Amino acid sequence: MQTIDITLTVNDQQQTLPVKSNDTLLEVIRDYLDLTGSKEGCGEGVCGSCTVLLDGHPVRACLTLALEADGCAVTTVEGLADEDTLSPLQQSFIDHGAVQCGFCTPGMLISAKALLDENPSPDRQKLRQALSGNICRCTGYAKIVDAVAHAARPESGCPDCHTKDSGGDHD
Amino acid sequence: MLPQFSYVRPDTLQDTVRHLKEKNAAIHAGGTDLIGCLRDGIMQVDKIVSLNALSDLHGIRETADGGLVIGALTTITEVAENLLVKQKYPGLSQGSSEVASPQLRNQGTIGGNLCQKPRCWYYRGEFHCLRKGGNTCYALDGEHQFHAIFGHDLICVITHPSDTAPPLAALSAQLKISGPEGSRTVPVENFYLLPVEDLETETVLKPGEVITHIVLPAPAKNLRSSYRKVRARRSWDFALAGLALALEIENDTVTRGRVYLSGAAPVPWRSRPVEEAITGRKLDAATIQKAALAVVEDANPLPENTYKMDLFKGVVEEELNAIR
Amino acid sequence: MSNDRYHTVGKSILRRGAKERLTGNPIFCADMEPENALYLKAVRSRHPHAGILGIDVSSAMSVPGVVQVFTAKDIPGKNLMGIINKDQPLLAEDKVRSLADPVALVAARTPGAADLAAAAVSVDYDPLPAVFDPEEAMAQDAPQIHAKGNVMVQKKVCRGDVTAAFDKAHTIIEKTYRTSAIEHTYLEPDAGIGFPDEDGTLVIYASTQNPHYDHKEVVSLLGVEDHAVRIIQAATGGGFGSKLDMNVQGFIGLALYHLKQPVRYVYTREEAFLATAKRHPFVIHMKTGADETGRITAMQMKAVCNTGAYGSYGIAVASRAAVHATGPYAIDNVNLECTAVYTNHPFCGAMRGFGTPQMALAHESQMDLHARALNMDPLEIRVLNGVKKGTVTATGQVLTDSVGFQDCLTAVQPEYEKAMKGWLSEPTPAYIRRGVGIGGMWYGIGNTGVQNPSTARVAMDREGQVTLFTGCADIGQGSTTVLSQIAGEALGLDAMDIHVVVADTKYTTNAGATSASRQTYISGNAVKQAADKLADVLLTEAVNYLKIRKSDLRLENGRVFDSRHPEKQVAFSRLAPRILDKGGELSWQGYFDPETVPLHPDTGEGIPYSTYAFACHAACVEVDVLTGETSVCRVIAAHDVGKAIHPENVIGQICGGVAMGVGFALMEEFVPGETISMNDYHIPTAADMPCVIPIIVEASEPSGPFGAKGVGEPALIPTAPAIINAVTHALGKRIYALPASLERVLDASIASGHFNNCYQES
Repeated sequence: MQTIDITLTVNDQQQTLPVKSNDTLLEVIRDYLDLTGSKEGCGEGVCGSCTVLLDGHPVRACLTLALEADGCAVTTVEGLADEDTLSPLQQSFIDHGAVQCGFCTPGMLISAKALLDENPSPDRQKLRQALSGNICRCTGYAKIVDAVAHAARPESGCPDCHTKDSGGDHD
Repeated sequence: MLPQFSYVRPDTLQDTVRHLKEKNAAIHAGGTDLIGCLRDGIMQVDKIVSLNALSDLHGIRETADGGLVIGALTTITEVAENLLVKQKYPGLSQGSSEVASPQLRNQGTIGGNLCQKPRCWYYRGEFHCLRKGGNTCYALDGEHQFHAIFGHDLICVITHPSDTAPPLAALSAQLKISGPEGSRTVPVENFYLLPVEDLETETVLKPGEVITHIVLPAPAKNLRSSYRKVRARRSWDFALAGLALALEIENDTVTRGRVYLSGAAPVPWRSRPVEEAITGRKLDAATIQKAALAVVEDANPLPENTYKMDLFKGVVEEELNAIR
Repeated sequence: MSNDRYHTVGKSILRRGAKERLTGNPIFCADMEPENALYLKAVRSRHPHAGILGIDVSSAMSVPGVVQVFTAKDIPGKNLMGIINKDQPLLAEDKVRSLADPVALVAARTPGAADLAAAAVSVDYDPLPAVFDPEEAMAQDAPQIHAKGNVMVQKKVCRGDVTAAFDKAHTIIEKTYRTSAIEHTYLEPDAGIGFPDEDGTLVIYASTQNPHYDHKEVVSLLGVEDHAVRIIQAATGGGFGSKLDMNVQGFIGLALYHLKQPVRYVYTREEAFLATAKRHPFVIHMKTGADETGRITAMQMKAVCNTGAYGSYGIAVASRAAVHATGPYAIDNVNLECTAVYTNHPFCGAMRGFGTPQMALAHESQMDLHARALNMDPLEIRVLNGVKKGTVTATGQVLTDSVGFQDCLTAVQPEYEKAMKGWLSEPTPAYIRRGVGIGGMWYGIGNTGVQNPSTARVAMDREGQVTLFTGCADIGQGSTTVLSQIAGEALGLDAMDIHVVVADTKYTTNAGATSASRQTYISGNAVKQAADKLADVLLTEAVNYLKIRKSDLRLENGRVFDSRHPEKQVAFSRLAPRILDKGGELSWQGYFDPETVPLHPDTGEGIPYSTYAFACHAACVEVDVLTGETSVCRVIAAHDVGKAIHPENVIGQICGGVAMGVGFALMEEFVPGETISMNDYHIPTAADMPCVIPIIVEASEPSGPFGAKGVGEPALIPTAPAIINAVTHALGKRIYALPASLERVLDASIASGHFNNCYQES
């Protein structure tokens, strides 16, 4: 099948790739670029594991044709850390025990990053709404919401931080 | 893996229309429904025509008379969060914010939302139903608890899945359509086809036609609008029942009312019985009660979805109370 | 919770493996794409029940890119799998028993070719009458699913004299409860890859909960020696019981055996929905009798569960259901029976709780019904009847230690009372009614009344570096971290200083399945035993080196030191070579099997588990009486886990369990043929979650590692009953079938009169 060249800036690196018209952005990211952090959990835009930022907006890579992303900036989970240093958001996930099986984690991070980039101090209601498009079956979302809330407000002395061992409310 | 197709992204509306006239050409706006349909194998597509180079079709602007023009390619998120939409047509803002999930609202367009294909699980599954050229509506004899209670004529019992169409219809919006024979304007309320009228398509769009803009009339000074969606979860799901209201209220009295139901019929369903029950009356307890009863006046529920009768009564009761 | 005794146990240390998951490392099977891998695709039955007259693969073979199409005759070993009873072929032989039974397997160079070829395989079916309802399947003339009949197993527990007890009872409540099939919906669709090693070993990376079982099964399917197959558990994106059965491992093994080329099989979500186990739907008839004080004196329970086309874990589900039917209550007279029936429904298997979540709906509803009949507070009736130390269970087991149910009730009491006195009467819109409900549970840790041992190895190398070898599959619950903490505690080491080799059949030994909430308790004990043995060897050598008696020596930070004169010390790195050079052993195996006594086939008498977890949830809900929409606002969840080795992990399980419970209670229902994908199947999103207040209760279990038991499944069990009791409290009308969907809640609202009242009043 005929291929068309597209240019994507993926995690700040410009790439020119020959893609087929029926390639999705997720397939290009995973199969062409070997960036396996974005996952296929359902292939139909429900679970959110494939969420990436497209020009800063969280979208479902499994429902995006690669050709439609031509000329766009794409951020995947691999673009969050700075070499070996985790981003504050990623570190907050570790500190709050927000990672269990880890399959939903990349999508959650991307949706959370998009939220915090737009609204640095969301209330918990907005937070939950922003994450409502990312399904998790392991964590019950509680620790994930804690982690994002804390990353948004690190100075608030979060009682759920890793350094303290208390239970606390999880909402 | 998606099936194979060719892809074009024309720079002009003219070229777009020309490509769309071809057999098995499909519109790609946000792509969120299209890609799903391709994956489910319910559309035969040989060519995808992307609208995304048509920048004219993007954006929201106020018109001279105080109305609004929304480009069909405006994303659902943009519609939901637009200040003018929130101020003038809160029902549309609410409807938009209830669509799917945050990521899908970022990708999906309002034009696409209006034109999306049915979500019936038989249609989306491997059943060769009436809409796909077969002889049977599988839902009629099968599991139909999420399906229609109006307008099906026992032919096809889908419910229209859009959350933007009912408020747009209630708000008397019009669709600007461009096609091979030029442009035309179709009110949203006339855009959809009942199963008895057509089973091959859900809208009046002819081959080669595309919605370019949605035009909203200037809201009356005393216009109040709302949209309520009832669903199984607080995110993602399509409506079990929905209610779009656009009421002009003067001195507590409804002078003019347009009421549309979602999750009720194969098209956004205008509820004239409710409109009649409230027009010219104060929205007091007695009127609201009458209106709630009226909503199911001509309903034709199926054996497994009679609960929708009570559900709509409940929704009308709550929303008329909330809007007054 | 005092954690000062221990240096790592009881602390929420950094979780192992978190970083790789946060940075998107390619650790899941679908991330691995060996070069030139062939793609596999199963051809599945088009009929729920049919004979197979012939399979024609010629058209499929002529699809460009197809390498081979396998059928049952290509299986070199035994074509029968099953975790308890072996009744499930890898590829169908002479009949299919459900839609999705695999009939053939395609191997092709591209996914497209595999799909085309799979569609081109032509199977000549002889359709047979099918039966989907278990009660119908039990009838004399029902179509026979398996040769030995449709009743797969019936488990009974009886004690005392129920007839006499009912005769004397003050109040008798008799109801029928129903639950539907549930889909696990783990986020990672089943996947696997395989390739032949340089020495010809067939290496399979699997998304699995029990790699050693997979190994045994693949070896049996292929009829090869143990060492010819190696199973490595890849990062596994959730399982919840589904990945206890084989998913793609058998297909990969078969293709590898014949083709000796790398292969790959990744399920789509649709295939995962179609082809993997479901939670057993149950119909439970429960009758309980109480005296005038509210003491439950008798229970009669008859349950039928639909095990679908194949056995899988059905026997375990029926067993557990019967054993747990009483709930955490002391009931002297019981007659309990649970029957698992084959039908042409897709097969049902293990899912978090194995029948106890279904039973909990019944026993917790009954408790509330008795409470209401006697005008008692729901918490009060549970305190009255709740098990304590010394209680004799329905199987005649005396609960001697670690019986924390009363502690859990006490723990939720303050929040429960606050909700009842305050929250309940706060002003709400006219059509919103609030309710508060309680749910209690007990859960036996480990497999029911059978041996289910775990083994582990802890070894030190010449440099003093310790490695833990465990076959225990971590599927996100954090077992690798917890087991390293147990080893670390025993050896005075920081858990993160211990290397771990996990779930690789080349290097690890069988730890049993990651199921039945058994790993912390059973594998934890095996690890502790191994680590203790190594510690003893180090101490013994240190006695020799330091000339101090053993009782004064301590292990800490990689050295042994004199507790009275800490400056007298010796590092592990110095002890290790000394021990080895003397011919000593630094690699030690641990083994643990809980003390159980098999249950008598007629009475169920025996000791099914050596320890039980207990819990109580209180749920606060709001019901919209006009629409049936239900919001769970708050869940207070108290869990007796014996000892929380890693409190954050425990809290993670509790919150995750509550989420699953919300789904089970209100929105999840799997309908074969209609629930095709995640579009159709509703699991809770972040917006649906209540505020969760987890409370860890520690009634130490003497036979557990540092007192620990388990929490994986208990986390889920009390939630749905608590929610149903709360909805009942709100509406005054009870729902007896799950899910309490919007439609059912609306019906209850109408039946209760609240719908009409509200509707007329406002």
